[in-house]
Amino acid sequence: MMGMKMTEKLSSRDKRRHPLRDLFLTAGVVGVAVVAAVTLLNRNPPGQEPGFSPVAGIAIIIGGLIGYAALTLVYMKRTDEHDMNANLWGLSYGYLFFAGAAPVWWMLNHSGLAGPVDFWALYIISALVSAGAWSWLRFR
Amino acid sequence: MKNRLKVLRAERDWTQADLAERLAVSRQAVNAIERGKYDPSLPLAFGIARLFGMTIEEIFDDGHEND
Repeated sequence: MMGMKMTEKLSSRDKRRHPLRDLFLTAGVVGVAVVAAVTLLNRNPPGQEPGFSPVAGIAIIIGGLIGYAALTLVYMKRTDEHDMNANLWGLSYGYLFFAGAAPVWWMLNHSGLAGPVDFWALYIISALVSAGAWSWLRFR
Repeated sequence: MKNRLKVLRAERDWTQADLAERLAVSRQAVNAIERGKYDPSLPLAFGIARLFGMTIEEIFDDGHEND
């Protein structure tokens, strides 16, 4: 086996070597498009809570969902099994955090020990938990 | 799971990136398999065995004694 030449033809799946580059590029495009749409279609002045017409709101939702689906497809096509494994575990940890934290916060609120449940905060923290678990499993 | 991937790769003077390219996976995947942090799927294990011209059992050791 010593000195064996690397003569095997590379698979067409060679593009999977750079899944993150393609993923981040797509995420960047989708993110910029969604932020631009939210900014341009917001009819409330700066400093106030954003407000949208029903048509604008539905258009942003549809555009965002199409972008989200495209992002998922790019990821599925370009990733390898090690990354997918890390991703699935990362998502599981994120969900487990959410499933545990939401009722605990609700009970704390109803016991007078905490303010109302902030689902945006839970959403963001759950996403960070997922991302952290994925990063650890992917790059450790 | 223990394996001989690092030794087999070194015998061929391949880097982790070289092996990753041949297996169509990331370099981190090769690193994780070599260090026993990730057990490859059966299709990938067969691909590794085919690449080195060996059987899966000759590369991977699950710690059980063979009869």
